Amino acid sequence: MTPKFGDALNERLGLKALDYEVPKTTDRLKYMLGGLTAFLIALLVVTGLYLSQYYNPTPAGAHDSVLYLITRAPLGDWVRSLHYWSAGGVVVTVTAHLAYVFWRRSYKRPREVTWWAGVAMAGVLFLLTITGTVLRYDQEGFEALLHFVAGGNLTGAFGAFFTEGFTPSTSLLSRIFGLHTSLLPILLFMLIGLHFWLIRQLGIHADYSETGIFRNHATRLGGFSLLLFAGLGLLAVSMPEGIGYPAVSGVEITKPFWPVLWVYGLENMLGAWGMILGPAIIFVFLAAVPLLDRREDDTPGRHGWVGWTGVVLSVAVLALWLYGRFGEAQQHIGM
Amino acid sequence: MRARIIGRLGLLALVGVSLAAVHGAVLKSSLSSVEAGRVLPLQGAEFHAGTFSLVLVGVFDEYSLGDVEIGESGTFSIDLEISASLRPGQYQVVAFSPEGEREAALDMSVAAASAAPEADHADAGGHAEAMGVEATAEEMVIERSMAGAGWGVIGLLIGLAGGVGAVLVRRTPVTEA
Repeated sequence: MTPKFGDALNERLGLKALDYEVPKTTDRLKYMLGGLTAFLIALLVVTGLYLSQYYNPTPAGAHDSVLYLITRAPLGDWVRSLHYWSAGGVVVTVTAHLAYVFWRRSYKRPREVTWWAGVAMAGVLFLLTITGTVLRYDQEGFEALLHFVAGGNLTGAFGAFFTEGFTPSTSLLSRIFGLHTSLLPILLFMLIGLHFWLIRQLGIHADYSETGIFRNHATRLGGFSLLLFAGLGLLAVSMPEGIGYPAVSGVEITKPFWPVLWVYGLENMLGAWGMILGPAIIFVFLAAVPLLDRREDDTPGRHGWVGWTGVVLSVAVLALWLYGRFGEAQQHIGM
Repeated sequence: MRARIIGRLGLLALVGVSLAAVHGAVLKSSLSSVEAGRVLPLQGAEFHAGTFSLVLVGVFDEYSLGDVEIGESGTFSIDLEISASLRPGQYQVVAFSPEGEREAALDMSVAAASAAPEADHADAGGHAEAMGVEATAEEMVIERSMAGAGWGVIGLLIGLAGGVGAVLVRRTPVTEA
């Protein structure tokens, strides 16, 4: 970009507003995990919009429409695989972001709400991941759908939306499609807006003695985002996502999408309640962290017992993930 | 004033005639979902006289349902046998004119013989079971076909993103606050 062209853009788009001070450390990749998550969410929206042009959210048409996407829609196979790999990628970046922010104790006053907005976003992303799995509507997708029904039945009024009796006017698959493509994304964007606004107002928890400007950070983040896109694009080419056979009811023989394998491991131990208790424990702990960590200072890594609880829970999730990944497939719900 | 009213009435009549011209043949059924091996009652109206072919058009396959002879009344009523071996899924019943033109269509989902109605989410599970398919966690073997142009677009996107990304990361501009 030549200086004149840059000046012309600045004048018309108000880009100077991006020249506010940020800590110099934001040039480092570990401070870009949230930004990379935002980029992946944008990529998921774009690829998802494309997929929704071909997807038929009815029990009779869903599986065929996914097959059509893979075999006949222009670039459909690659776009779907990119969506799949981006979904996995966002789980990695959001988990790493959450872990780093936790370690730095950035949730301390006055950034409690920024943390809660982030935890809520992680929860919404978790729901987006599992609702997306259902839409495949192959054996794995159908079993995921039956888990929604079982969870809905277990939680009574809270889970009524996921039960068969909610309405006879449309299928549960169609409602989960609506949840995945409208309700949850709207909620996510509202939380992202709140999260970004709070970061702009309160700043981040880092050393401000050496500063740069946000535009440099954004440019560098853009570079990493494009490299990430290229990497995911190559993965989508070299390891395209497949689809299972049309579902057969009465059995539970598949394992879920890899980010949810720890919940699957817990289900192996506790039955269907595992899928409710596991995520509930993790998210309640994460939400309570700013209230539990009462130490005055905000030195990174000095959480006391809260930090150790976080470590124990992380190890438990990892162990459950390994158990879910390598253990025998089991039946968890009465089908 | 009278001329204006006549003009407006004329305009309305013109719109009515246009709508009537656009409004063509219609297919109707008392069912929106039919089980394979059962009978699908189908009615038609507003057709012109002639022999029309009825075809069940799916995402991947087409099945001929036979021909129907339509007289001057432009209407017909017929019970169609849906083959028990028909692949369950979302279809359209399409009426083709003797000239091969698509005259009318009706959305129709086909469920397997013992499957529940479409509104019940559990029908997908029943479909494959009724077709004598065993449950498997394996993935389908799919023939993935991509045209050369498709690979070109993907290669261009990946290459461009990788190249520009590398440049941005290596040459982040340094601007004072």
